[in-house]
Amino acid sequence: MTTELAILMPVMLVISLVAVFVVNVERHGTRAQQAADAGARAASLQRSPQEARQAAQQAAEAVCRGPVVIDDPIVFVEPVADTYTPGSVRISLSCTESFTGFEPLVQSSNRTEWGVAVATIEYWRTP
Amino acid sequence: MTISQAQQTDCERGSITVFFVVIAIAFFAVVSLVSEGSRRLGNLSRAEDIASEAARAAAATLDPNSVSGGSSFIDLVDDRARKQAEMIVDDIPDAEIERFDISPQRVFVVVRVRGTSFVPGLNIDGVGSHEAFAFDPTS
Repeated sequence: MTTELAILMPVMLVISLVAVFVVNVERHGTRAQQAADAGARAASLQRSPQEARQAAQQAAEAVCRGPVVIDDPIVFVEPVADTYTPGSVRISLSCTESFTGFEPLVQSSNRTEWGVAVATIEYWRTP
Repeated sequence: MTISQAQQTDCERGSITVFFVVIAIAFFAVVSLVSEGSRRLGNLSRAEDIASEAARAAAATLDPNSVSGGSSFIDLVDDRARKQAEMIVDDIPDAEIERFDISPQRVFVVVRVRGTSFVPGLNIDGVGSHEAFAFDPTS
C-alpha cells in the first residue's frame, strides 16, 4: 500500500498542476480579450485613426501584463454626421505574458494570446 | 477460519490503485468542466459586449428627416440600422446576430458567440442581449 501511495501521489500532484495551468491559460486568454475591448473602447473616443491607435495601445497595455502588439492598420470607419451614421473601430491585438512555475509540465516561457474587439463611434464624434 | 496477515495484504493489493483511478477520473472531469465553464462564461461576456456595441450602432443610426423635424427616430429605411449592427458583429469571429428587434425608438439585439468544446456534447456557446434607445441629438 505504501509503495502504491508513493507512486500515485506524484501523479495526483501533476494532475493538480495541470488544473492550475489550465486556469492560468484561461485567465490569460480572458485578459487578452479584455485588453482588446479596452483598446477598442478607448479608440472609439478618438477622432482620427492615428489617435485611435495610440489610445488603443495605451488602454490595452494597462490590462495586459506584458507587451501588446496591435495588428496594423486598425479598421477605423469614420462616422458621418450628415446622415447620422455611426462609425466603428476594430482592434485586433496580441498580448504576451510570461508563464512560469510549471516546469514539470512545460518550460517557463512567454505565452501569447489574441483578442479582437469592435466599438461603435457615435456620429457626433466626426473629425 | 483465520486469515493470516500476508493473505490479508494480498487481498488489499491494488485497492489503492483502483481508488486513485476513480479519483483521477473525477478530478479530470472537474478540471474539464471548470475549463470549459470558464470558456462559456467568457463567451457569454463577449456576446453581451458585442450585443451592446451592435445595439448602440443601430440605435445611433438616426433618420435625418425625423431629426430635422425635431424628433429622433431610428432609421428603418433600407435596413440601415441593421446593416450598422451587422457591420459590428461581422468583424468578430464566431459571432452572429440571433435576434434583431427594431422600432423607431429602440433596438433589441441578441448575439450568439459560438464555441467548440473538447468535451463531447457540451455546449459552450455564449448568448447575450442588449437594448438601446434612439439618442436625441436635440437634447
